[in-house]
Amino acid sequence: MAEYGKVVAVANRVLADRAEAEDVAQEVFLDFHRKHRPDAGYAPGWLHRAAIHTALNRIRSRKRRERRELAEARRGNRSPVDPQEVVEAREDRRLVRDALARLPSKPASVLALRYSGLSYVEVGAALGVGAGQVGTLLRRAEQALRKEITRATPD
Amino acid sequence: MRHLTDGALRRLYDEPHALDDETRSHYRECAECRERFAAVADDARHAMALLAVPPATVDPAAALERVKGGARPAPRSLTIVRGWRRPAFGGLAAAVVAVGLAATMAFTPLASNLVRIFQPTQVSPVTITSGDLTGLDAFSTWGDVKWTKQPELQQTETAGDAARVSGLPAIQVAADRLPSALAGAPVTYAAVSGSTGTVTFAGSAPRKLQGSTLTVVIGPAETAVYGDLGKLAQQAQADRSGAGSDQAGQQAVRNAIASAGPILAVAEMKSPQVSSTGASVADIKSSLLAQPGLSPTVRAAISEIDSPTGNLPLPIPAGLANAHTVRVQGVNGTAVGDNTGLGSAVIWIKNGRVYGVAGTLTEDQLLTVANGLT
Repeated sequence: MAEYGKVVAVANRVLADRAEAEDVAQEVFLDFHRKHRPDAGYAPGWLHRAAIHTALNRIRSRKRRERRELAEARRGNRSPVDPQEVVEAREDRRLVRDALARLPSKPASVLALRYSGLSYVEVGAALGVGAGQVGTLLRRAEQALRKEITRATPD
Repeated sequence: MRHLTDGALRRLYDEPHALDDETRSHYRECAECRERFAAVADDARHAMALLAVPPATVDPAAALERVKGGARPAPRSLTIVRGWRRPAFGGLAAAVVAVGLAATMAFTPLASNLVRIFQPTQVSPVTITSGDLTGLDAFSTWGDVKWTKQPELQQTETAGDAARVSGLPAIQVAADRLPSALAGAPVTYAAVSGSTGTVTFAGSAPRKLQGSTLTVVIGPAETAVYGDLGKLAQQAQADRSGAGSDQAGQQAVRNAIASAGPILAVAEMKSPQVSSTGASVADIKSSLLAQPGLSPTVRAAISEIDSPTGNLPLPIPAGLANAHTVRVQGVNGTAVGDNTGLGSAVIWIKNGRVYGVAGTLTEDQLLTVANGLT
């Protein structure tokens, strides 16, 4: 049961949405089941890595959809609510997720994995690197996230 | 040794005991690395705050049901097991998924997810009063504490037997370091098996701790008690039965000591280890410090719990004893002097083991014994 909870936690760390995180976990487990043997030793690392990539992809596609919806709203085709207000109301919540999605895959993955509670050994297994390298990756990723947030909020 | 890399400093923040002694020793002695560590820790805390999310509490049984509903054949399994392409596949696939999930979860035992987050390497005394304890009541609702392995005491004939049972080096007190009153005194040896306790954060625990399990492994340990314990106990019981007040009770114990002779206890224990399935020492400290109603003394004590250096504050009840730092066996230890004149103790940690000597002796006598342990 621990592995399911971890996969949800990893996806939730990226998405900040529990229900969507559970969707991701279900998708990832089913995908694993279709393609791999259930007793494969690499399963935890595979599941964690797949959870990150699936969750990041959902954020990226969500952003594309939101841009499309915003453009349509601006053309007067949709919501009577001021689309700019809608965007601003959710801006704070999305800022970090978007910044995470803009980072290269490895830094984004190491952040989500570690802050989901995985050990350095587990993070290393998911990323295909030694546990000794995780600290360096994590340090660089944290600095990159800080820069990305600062760049996105210049004030 | 060269300065620590950023990566090593970052890991020091999360998993200090995953690093070797040389690395941690360099950190303790290098002001530059400690300064860099502060910047690393600051970035880590900043990232943690940015990435904080509401906890995703999951219901694995319900998840399993959902997965069962969405199960489709695994191509590899179908090539191995013939005859699965039939109308009853839905139920069979569900079973396969159930087994797969169970296997996936089962072969990652809890132990492999545990990360050692704290192991004390030195103790420092903190004097506390009963008033300091009033703000700690709230922590009792943070989770359930369970002892999964209880300690068991086994008396042995010799120090060597106690060492064999405990797996620790035998306690050896040099004869010339013993107070003359204990020369030729009977010695009682015992070994205590290791014990394990867990606490899983739930209930009213802060969000970032929820779901994490801390495992504390204590011991094994061994003891050697010099002096006639039986006679002391008998004498104290007899004298106490006639004592009507605390003061009279203390006098009764003094009389018993005078009659039965001094007692010296020497103990050695493997340094306790705290492991976690998620929460780090920094998480736990910040959660504890965020609680209202803590006394300044308790706040200071929590702040002194230091993962990289392994510092463990030792609470000493005010009024009953005074405590101060002493140098013993080349390291810092804590001496606890009993103001009532009934005894003293010295505690220190060295080479991953906790040592203690205590007895109805003066601090100087105890330090002589402590420094004579081999």
